[in-house]
Amino acid sequence: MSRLRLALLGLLSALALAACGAQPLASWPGLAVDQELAYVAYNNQVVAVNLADGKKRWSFPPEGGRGGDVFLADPAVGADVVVVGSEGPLSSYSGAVFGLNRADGAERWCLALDSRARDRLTTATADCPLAPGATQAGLFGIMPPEDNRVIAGIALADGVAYVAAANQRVYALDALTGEVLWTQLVSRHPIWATPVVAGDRLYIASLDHVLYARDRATGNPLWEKDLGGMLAGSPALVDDVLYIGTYNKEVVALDVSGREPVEKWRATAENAVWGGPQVKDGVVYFSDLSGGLYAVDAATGAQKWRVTPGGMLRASPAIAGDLLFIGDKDGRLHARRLTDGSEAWTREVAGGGQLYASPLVLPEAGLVLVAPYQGSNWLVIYNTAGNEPRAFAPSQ
Amino acid sequence: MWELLVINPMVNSMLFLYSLLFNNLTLTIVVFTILIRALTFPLTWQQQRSAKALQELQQGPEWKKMQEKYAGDREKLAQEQMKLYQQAGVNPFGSCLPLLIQFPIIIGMYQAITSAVAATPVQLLTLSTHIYPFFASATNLLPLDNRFLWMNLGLPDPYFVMPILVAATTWVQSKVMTPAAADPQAAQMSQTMALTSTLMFGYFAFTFASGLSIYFIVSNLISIVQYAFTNPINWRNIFSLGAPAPAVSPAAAGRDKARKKK
Repeated sequence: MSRLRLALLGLLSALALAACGAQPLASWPGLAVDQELAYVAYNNQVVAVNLADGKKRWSFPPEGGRGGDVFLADPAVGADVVVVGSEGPLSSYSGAVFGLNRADGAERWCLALDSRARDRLTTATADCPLAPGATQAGLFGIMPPEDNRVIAGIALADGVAYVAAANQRVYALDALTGEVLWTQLVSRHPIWATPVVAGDRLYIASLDHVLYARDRATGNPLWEKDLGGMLAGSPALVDDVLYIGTYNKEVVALDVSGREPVEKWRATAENAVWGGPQVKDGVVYFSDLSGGLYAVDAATGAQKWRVTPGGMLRASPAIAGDLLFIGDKDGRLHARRLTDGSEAWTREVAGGGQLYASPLVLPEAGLVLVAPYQGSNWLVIYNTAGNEPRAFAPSQ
Repeated sequence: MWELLVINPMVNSMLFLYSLLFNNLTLTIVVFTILIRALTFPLTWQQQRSAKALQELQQGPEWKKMQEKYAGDREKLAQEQMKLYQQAGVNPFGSCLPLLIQFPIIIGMYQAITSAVAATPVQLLTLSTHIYPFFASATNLLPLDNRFLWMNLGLPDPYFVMPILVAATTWVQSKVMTPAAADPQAAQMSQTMALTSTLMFGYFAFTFASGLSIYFIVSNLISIVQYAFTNPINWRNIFSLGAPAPAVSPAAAGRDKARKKK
C-alpha cells in the first residue's frame, strides 16, 4: 500500500512540476519597420535589425537592464523615437510603456501602468512615473487583480502615441517626452487591437464587441457600435469606410463619414476573423481562423474569391504590387495573386515557428518581413519573389 | 487525441453551460464540477468501497495475528498479506486505480478552465481550435465574464482567500476520508499524503487562475459529502496532526455500548 501511495505522490509531484514548467509566451512577436530598420518586440527584448544585412543594430533593455519585462506589442516608429509597450514580467499583468531613441535604443522615458511596474522600473538612475488613473497596491502591498498589459500595438501620429491597454484604457502620450496628454477608460473588456488614427478621430476595437470612436485631442466619446462579436484585430480605414473583422465570423463595413456610423454590408467567413482586413483597388482582403483567405468587393461585400492556402490564418494579409502575403500557423509564408488568390510561391519559414504575427512589406525595397512565434529566428526577411532570406536570431 | 477526447468536450460543455447559466462563469464552474463528479461517481464509489474493505481487513484479528507471527520476516509477511487479500476478495490496488484515473480529468479541467478564460492571445487562439464548428453561437459568448467578487477568475486571487479555502478543504477531505491504518508505517504515509496534498493544492491555487480554485473547493466538498453517505466520518481527525484515529463503525460502536451496559 505504501508503495502505491508513494507512486501516487510521485505522480502528483510530476503533475506539479509539469504545471510549473516553462510557460509559453502570451502572444507572438510585435513587428514594425521603417526604411532602414525592422523592430521586433519579443520575449524580454526589443531589437532593431538592419534590413540590409539582418544584423542587430541595438536592443532594449541593455544587458543587465532592469525590469525583466516581456515585450509583445507592435512598436510604433517615429522620426526620432520608438514607442514600445510591455506586459511586465511573465504572467505579472503589470504593463509599462517606453520611449526609446530610434538611433541607439537608449531609453528616453518610461510610464508605469500600475504601481508594481513603477516599483519595478524605478531605480536610482532611472525613473518610471505612474500613469494617471493607474492601479495602485492596496493593503499590505497587494495589487488588485487588474490586467495592465499592453498587448495592442501602439499607434503614432503627429508626435502623439496612442496606447490601448488591456486595462480598458487608452493613453495619449507625447512620444518624445512620455507626458500623458489624456487618458480615458474606454471599454468594458481588454483592448488587444492597435487603435486607428484618422483625421481628428481615434477608432478603438475592443474585445467587448464594441467599436469606439473617440475625439483624438481629448479622448472624449463620439460614438460606439456593438458589432456582435469580439474585435481582436484592428480595422482598416479607406475613403471614410472602416472594415473590421469580428469573432462572429464576419467582416463589417461601416461608413464613418457622418456623426454616426452607417453599416454598409457584412461579409460572412467560415470562422472568426482576427487579422485586420487590407483594402486595395476596391477589394477587401481578409483571412479567418479556418485558414480561409477571402477577397470581397469593397462596395458591396460580394465575394470575389476564397482560397485556403494552408493552416490556420491569424495574421492580417499584407499587399505589395499584385501579390498578397500571409503567414499561417504551420509556419508557411504564402504569396498569392490578388486577381484570383492563386499561389505565386510558398516558403517554409527559416528556423520554424508559427506565423501568427502579420507580415510587413516594403514595396519600394521589395521586401517581406515575418516574425515567427516560437521559432529559432525572431525575424526573417525575404524579397517579394520569396528568395534571399535573411534571418535574425537573438543568439547572433 | 487528448484534445479530441478530453479538452474539446470539456470546453464546449463549459461554454454551453455558460450560455444556459446567465453568462455566469462562477456558476458554470460549480455546475460543471458537479456534473464531472456525477460522471465519475462510479469510480469514486468503487475507490471508497475498496478503501473501506481494505481498512476492515487490516483491522481484523487475522491481519494482526499474521503481523505478529511474521514480524521478523518481511518477505513472508508480504506473501501472507497477498494471500489474505485474495481470500477476502480485496484488491489492494482497488482504492488507488480509480483515483489515478481521475487525474486526467483534473488536468483536463485545468486546461479547459484556462482555455475558456483565454487571458492571452495565444490562449484565445487555442480556444478557437477547441470550439466545435456546429456550436456556432459559442464565439458570441466570448470573452467570458471572468469577474467574481474581487477576483478575475483568469488570474490568481491576490488576497489569498481562495488558496486558503482550497488548502483547508483539501486538508479536511484528506483527514476525514483517510481510513485508519493498523500499520504505523502506512498511517505515517497517510499523514504525509494529507499534508502534501494540502500544500500542493494550496500552492496550485496560489499560482493558477482562481477559476481553478473554485473547481478544487467544490470538488473537495462533494468528496466529503459523498464519503459521508457511505462511511462514518471521523471528524476528530481534522485537528489531528498525528496518525489518523480509527473510524468507529456503527457495528463496533453497538458492541462497545453493549459491553459497557454489562
